[in-house]
Amino acid sequence: MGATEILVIIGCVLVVGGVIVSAIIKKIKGVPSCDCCSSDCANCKKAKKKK
Amino acid sequence: MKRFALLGNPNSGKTTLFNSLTGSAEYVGNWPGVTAERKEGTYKKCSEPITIVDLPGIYSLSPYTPEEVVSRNFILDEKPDLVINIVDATNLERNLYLTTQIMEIDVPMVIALNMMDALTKAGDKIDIKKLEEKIGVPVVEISALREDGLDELMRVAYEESKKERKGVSVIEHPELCHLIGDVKIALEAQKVDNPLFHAVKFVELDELEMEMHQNLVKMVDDFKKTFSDDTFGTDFDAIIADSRYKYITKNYSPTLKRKHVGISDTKSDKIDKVLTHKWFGIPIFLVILLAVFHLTFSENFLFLGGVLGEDFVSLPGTAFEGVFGEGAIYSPGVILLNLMGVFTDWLFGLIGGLFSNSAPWVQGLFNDGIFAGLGSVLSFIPQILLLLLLFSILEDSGYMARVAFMLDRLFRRFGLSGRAVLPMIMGFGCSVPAIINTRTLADEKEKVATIRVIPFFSCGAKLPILTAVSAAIISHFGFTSSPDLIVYSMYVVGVVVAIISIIIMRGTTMKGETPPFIMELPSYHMPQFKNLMIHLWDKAKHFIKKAFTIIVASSIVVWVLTNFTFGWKFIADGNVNDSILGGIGMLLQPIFTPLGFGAQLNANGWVFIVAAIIGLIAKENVIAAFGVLAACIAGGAVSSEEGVQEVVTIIGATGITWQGAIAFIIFNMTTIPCFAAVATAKAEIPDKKKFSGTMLFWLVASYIVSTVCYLSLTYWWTAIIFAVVLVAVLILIRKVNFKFKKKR
Repeated sequence: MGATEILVIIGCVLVVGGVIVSAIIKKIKGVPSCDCCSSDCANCKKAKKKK
Repeated sequence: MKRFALLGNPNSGKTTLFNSLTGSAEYVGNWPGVTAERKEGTYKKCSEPITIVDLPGIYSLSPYTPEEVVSRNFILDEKPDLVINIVDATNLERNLYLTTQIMEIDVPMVIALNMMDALTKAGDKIDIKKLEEKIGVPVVEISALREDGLDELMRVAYEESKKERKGVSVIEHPELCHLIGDVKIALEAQKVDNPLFHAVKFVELDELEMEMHQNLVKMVDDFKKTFSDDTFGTDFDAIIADSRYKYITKNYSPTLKRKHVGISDTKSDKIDKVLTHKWFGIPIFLVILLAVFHLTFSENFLFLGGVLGEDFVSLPGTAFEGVFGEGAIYSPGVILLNLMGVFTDWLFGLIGGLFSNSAPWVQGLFNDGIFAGLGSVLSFIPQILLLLLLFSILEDSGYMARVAFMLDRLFRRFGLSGRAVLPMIMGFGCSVPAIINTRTLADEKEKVATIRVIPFFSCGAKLPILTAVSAAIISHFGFTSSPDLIVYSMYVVGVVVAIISIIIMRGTTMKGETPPFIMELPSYHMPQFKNLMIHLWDKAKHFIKKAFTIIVASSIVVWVLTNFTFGWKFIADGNVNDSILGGIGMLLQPIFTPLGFGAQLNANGWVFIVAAIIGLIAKENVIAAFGVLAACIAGGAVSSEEGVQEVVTIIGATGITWQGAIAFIIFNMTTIPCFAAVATAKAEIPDKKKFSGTMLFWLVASYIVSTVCYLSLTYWWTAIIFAVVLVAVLILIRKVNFKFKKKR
């Protein structure tokens, strides 16, 4: 397996892992899992504040 | 840090002022009640930073709806350093009613006389100095929209916030003034903050006040026995309201000099005579809606097909062949979609080239996985934004408020008020803010019923499913119709399903009185470029963020699960039915047989089930999953025509009928919405049972509606049976309710 393949695997693990971990963190912190960026969205606001 | 609160009537321009002062990009709509919760931002141009709090619009400090409670509680409990009372100068008397109530609170205040430009344009004038003198607080002329007078407003406000102000009352009714004085003394003895305000509210017999100070109820009751008023009897609330208006008419109204005395039709009134006509109003709305869809989805723009030569628009032999049209000119929405497709193809081709010497699985992962998924979603962004732009124009012009007013007549028959229509219309953009907006509904059951039907108003994220599957149906099955007609029909189906659901819910589990709907219709105005861009930027950010996080991650997962077996072996021969995802999909396939995309399909039929399940994370995932799955099934990236070719490949590989494909669209439109919308619904429905009921409702409704749709389209006679059953159910509900009412 070459360097490119290893980098691709690491990249994929980071992307998928990142999305899953951020969802888990939101769940633990009690912030509703909301990916809507609407500035009108209460959940996004709560998420921003908690961060 | 000092905190200034923005308080005023609905649609008086608070959020526009808030955005101008803080540089925020909060959503501004041209209808009353857009802001349902408080928002905070910072004003930095003063000698010290100031927190500006934008509060929901209210007509008075006697709260009836939850967002009115938000405003009242903030002013009374959180004690801002100053209140900026925004008064719509074009509607002075009515706006000053709230002012007379704020004046009773011990808080410094400044009046921002907004929309002065509109007042001047109408030829009217306000004597600011005289008004200031009469009210006793500074009055500053502003135009929040044009950002005129804002620095002066903040300068005056900052100076005023350093002073103390004691509440004063404008009520001149001698006997009631005496009673208010007595209650005030009693409240002061109890060390209650803002005693004058609470005393007035107490005498008005405000429910909240009565609960809080039960020991004073006897005082008012005893007073009532000795009191009589020729006009209002002992209705103190009405007497005080009357007293306020009398004071406003006597003292403040003379400061306003109107050019035209008497009642004459404004420009908005004249437009309304046509657009909100009793008989033509709703048909006009449907025609406008059709025009919006035609502009966004039509492949035969303005029905010019055949008039121009094919080569004129197809540009053969160029990089843009078939982008602007083929035999007919495409609508702007389709052209944008195609242009974005050309761009993403070029970009992904360029990046894909970097991996040309890598292992086959790396090339597959990028070309058939990430790029196929990402490209399917990214291509749709300009088209989705165009649709949202057109809706925003209708909204910002003031037309959507009229739609709520017109639909009130219709929805009232089914048990919902026009107030519930506004969140539903917002649902066409995104279900999340739409569900939040339901907190403007005072009746809990009406609120839950509205939340349940909001996903039926297809949001922007569902658009790729609608357009790609519709275009694939036309292309694969050789229909002569245009995809925009299918898309339009799907939107209509969504609305019809919503109406039927409301009738059933309000007649059974969600029974309740339909509250009256009173809404001040805003004047028509030219949509503001800044507002439109704020709204679009919000949405664009939302889609791009999702594309590069959830969609990329999901595409990788789907590709891996489609290219590996349960024994974790790479599938080299392209037989994706042996894959992990194939196994899971095939297990669930029989459940979806009545819907037309279950066990009756051939070996690859499971892809529809997998796509629908992945769509629960985010609806854009459905089309992204199709991109990946089509590439895996075809054994290489399918030449992308913005998701259409992918769906055509899948239709060909699965043997699904067009009826099944339509049922698939409807299932995705009506089933459980994305995770974000579910989380918001959970926050808005605190009752666990009702929330579980809502989830179950979405599942059952989508299953039933898709089944009915598939069977009716496949065997026309079943439509008669379903129609008879539906009518019977509706009659039964009506009869049972009628009997129940009679018994009561």
